[in-house]
Amino acid sequence: MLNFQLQLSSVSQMRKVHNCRANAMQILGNSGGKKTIPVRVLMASAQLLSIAILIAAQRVHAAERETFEAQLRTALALHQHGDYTHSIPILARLVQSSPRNYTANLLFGEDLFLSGKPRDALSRLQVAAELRRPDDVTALDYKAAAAESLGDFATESEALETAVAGSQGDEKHLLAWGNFCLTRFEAVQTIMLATRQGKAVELRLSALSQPEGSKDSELLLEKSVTLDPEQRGIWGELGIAQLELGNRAQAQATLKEAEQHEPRAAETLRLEALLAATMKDWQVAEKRLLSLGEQSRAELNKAFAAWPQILIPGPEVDGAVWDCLRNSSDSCPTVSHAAGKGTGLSARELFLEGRWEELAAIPNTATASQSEWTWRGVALARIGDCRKAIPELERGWTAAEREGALYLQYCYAKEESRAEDQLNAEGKAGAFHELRGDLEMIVGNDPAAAERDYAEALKSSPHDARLLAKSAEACLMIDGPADPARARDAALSSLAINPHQTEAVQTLAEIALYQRNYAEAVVRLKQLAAAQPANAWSKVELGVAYGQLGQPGEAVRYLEPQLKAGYPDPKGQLHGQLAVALRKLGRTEEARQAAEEASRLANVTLESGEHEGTDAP
Amino acid sequence: MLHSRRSFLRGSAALLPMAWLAQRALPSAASPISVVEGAGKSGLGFVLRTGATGHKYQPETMAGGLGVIDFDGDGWPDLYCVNGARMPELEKSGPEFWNRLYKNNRDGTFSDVTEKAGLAGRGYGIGVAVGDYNNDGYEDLFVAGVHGNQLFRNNGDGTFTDVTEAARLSSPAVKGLWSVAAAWIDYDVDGRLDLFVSNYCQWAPGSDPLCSGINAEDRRYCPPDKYAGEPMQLFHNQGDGTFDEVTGKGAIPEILGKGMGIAVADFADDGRPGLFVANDDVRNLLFRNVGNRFEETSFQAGVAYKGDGRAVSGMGADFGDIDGDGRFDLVVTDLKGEGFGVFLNRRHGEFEDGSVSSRLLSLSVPVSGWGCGLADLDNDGWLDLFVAGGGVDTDQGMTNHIFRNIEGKFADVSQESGISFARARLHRGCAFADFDRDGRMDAVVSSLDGPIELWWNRSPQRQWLQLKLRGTHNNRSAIGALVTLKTSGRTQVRCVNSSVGYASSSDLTLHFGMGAEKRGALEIQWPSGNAQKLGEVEAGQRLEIEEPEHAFSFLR
Repeated sequence: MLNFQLQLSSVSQMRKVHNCRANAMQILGNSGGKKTIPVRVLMASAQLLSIAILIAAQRVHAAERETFEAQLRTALALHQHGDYTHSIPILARLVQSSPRNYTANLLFGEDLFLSGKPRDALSRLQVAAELRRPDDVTALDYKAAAAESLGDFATESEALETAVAGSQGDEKHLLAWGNFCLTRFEAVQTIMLATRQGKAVELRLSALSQPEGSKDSELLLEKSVTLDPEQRGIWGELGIAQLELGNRAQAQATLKEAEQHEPRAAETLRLEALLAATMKDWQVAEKRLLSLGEQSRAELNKAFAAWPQILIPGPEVDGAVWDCLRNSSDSCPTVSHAAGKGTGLSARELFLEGRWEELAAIPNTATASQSEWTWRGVALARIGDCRKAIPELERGWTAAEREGALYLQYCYAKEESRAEDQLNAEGKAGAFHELRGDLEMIVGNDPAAAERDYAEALKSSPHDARLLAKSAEACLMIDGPADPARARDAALSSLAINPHQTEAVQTLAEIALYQRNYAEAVVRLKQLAAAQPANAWSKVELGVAYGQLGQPGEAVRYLEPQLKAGYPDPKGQLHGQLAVALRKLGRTEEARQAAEEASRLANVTLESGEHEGTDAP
Repeated sequence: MLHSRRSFLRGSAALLPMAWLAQRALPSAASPISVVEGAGKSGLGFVLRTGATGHKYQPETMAGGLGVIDFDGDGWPDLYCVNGARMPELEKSGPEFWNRLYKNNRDGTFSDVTEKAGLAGRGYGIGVAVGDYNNDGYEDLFVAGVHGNQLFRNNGDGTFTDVTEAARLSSPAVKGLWSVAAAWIDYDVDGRLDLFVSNYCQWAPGSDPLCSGINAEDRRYCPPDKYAGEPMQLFHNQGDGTFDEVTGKGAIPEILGKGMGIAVADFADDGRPGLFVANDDVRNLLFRNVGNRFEETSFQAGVAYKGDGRAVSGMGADFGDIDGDGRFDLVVTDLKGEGFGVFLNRRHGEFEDGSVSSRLLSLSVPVSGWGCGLADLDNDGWLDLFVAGGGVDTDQGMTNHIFRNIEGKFADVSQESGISFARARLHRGCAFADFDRDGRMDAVVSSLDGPIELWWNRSPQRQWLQLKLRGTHNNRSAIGALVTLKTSGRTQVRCVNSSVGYASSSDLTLHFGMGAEKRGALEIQWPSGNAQKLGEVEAGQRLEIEEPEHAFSFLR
């Protein structure tokens, strides 16, 4: 790659040589004119001059190449010393002169990120990621980190997932991917649970996790449909659940709702097929299944996989579908000639018709709307390609987009499970238990179980600072701030191994804050803020701690910029503290404004609240 | 490791004169507080019925107000217990849901006189405030409840009349609100008790969000952020048996909150009692009486949030001089993990966090507390803290707690005192009175779907003094009167008021523990500003003091 760069610069050098020659000719031609020099000599002189210039140019070129490398080395040395202030300008120049230089772009991106400029870093890291060797995932790691700090979960998911593939599923990257899936699952779930429709989605998702034919599944779907009867496919799902429990009459009634709400939904067609089969109306059942297949092969395969044995007719009933089910064949002629007739439909139409494969085949462009991202994401999820689905769904997702949320969480759960299974299958017990622990902490809300898994993981890696930090966090949740001894010990052990283990620092900061030990809290929070310049929480808590320590100047210095930048303060308590600090500094008018804002925010919280009737008296 | 600015300020030994230190009667480090439970034997058979059916209707977890009232004027404290109702109808469908009035038989027992008194009540009751609103010499009752409050006028003959409608306290606006607690206070010093009501959340049957699980066994009571808040209310006593709501009309700003316990005291040292409202998971409120009206000053005063600047699940609150500097400090109970709030009054209603210096933070983090009260349980001259313990949900029962105040620092003496040996329950309201008039403050505690607890104080006897004040120019109950007792080297202050802890009312009789001191000098500042110096009084007695016709006035 470097040679390619040098070749390009040689061309430009040659261009300069040519110009020199022309200039030389011009100079020589304008020498005064009184003496006439024979042309041959002139030509010879010009040739000699050209050669001299060429030699000089090559020397310049080599020098420049040397300069580039030397500068890169300098930048790397500065990078290694953490002197980003000086490395960044050098790297900026290098990247400008060699925009497709992998190393320069990578270093530049890293240093921008490490100096708290993730947005600028991302573009550089994107270039580096494109230029990388397939098995070199460094750029992807940093790209994921930069995207994470920007809240660009789509980009982060792409980077992490690509890194898993690039690293051939090494445990570090599988862990990172699994952890990301858990974190995003929980984040989306939290947002969804804040609204009635969101709760309906969560209930439906819970139903998906229940065993087929379970009463809980039916109950959950019933609750979900009560909260939001407009969810696509919910009536069909409910009917199927009812039928699985043997409640045919209920399923029939539910089918009516399904046909009214969404007659062409895959779930409705499946329910129709099942009900027809229970009535031994094999023709209708087959017809519905074939309709399903016309829409989506994947949906038909799912229907086949779940088809009850008891509803497979004997050989006396003809039909390609029944042959297929009877023989459990892989080459079932299930997709009729009518498949593909969606060609020419818009993405929206394909989505509404449930033509997942066709929709998934349409690439999205950068100008795609959020809806288009969601439609394609749903399609990819429904045909089983969660890896591709996730970034699309992330790009399309908003808090109001409940179908996107359903499949986003579904895919995150699936991918996390896949990571777990892979770690387990490869005998990577430590990483497996660590990911299980993360699952229990982040989603399961079971710190006791998490702590047990972390303890298992520590058996494989007793000096893993990150694991010790996670264990500390779990202990803190179990024992509470009143009894933080275990948490503190684990966190200190972690820091003894890695003084920069930020999760351990955070745990110690939390303990200190709980105990109102603000002096220690300040120490830890400053450590955290230095390690993670984009960590707004640490700065806000520094403001709180300084306020409690009676240092209003410092309190304002930390609190004010964060609040101005929009740090969430739903109850107004941070603005209240800012008001107190400002008043102590004699900044009365600003204090009054901060107090007003505190009151306003408190009132907003007080005026909201859910009034969703979910239970009839 | 603790290092805080307050450690420089709060080192009491460093601040107090050496002579005083030598002379005052220091409590022995070993002096115990001892309590014994005796509700059953005393005839207090009240069981608080929440009407819970498993649906987790929010009010079910909030009931439990208790009111100490001398309804017959015999000088012996009686007890009124507020009860729930059938859910979700909010109806007292049978005697099991009646509120109950227990007459003190003066022999350690009580008799249920509810029916005769006409005090069974209606609707879903939560809290109670005791005060003589019509100045006829008989203490009346205001019951705060869900979508309906009640005012019972004491007829003076052992009966009460529900005068809610007549008093104009049952307007549609009032009916829609969920009231938790109330406090009587003469804010405009016109000699008549006005009424402050703290309201909680907008709620209606069937409106509870689904929290934790869809199956009955998985459901939990929802946290308060699932509900919108409600405005606090102030009603002006018109003097003709009616009240006029003056919220938002200049007397008090219209402010939303999720109001729980109310504490009342002259915290600003200006002779005018103000109000603190513990709010649930949002900022607390401090209403400073600036003369005929209230201003909300919680931010400026430093009590809007707990010591680390965060909102807490504030439930109970009480004012009292914790650190012995003659000013009214504030304690607020909340849930396990949060640590109780202790706000030390520095001057004129500006507070600072005393949860660490008082040692209560670390002691209270493992505790969920509802009702509370600062009372001198060992009569050593320092106000101890009694806390009704219990979590929110049905599987979070706790015992009660007693934190003994040793010169401004608390120690958990729950085990030594005997209080922690009772069953863990979902305790809620608590109120204090010397029910057996033995000079030691007793406590009553309610618990959800559990029997009432009467904790007889059996601490070793020490000197004490009790005062029952009666206003003449001022409100008859003398609510708002400030009493100072000076013994050799110590000054204690009390403010007459009944509101205590969570949704409850304590005896209006003031109690002073005096340690070994046998006499002390009393000074009373009546709400009107009139001052009365009584000179030295002997310990070991109960005095009834009526406001004199002529008393010198403090110029304010």
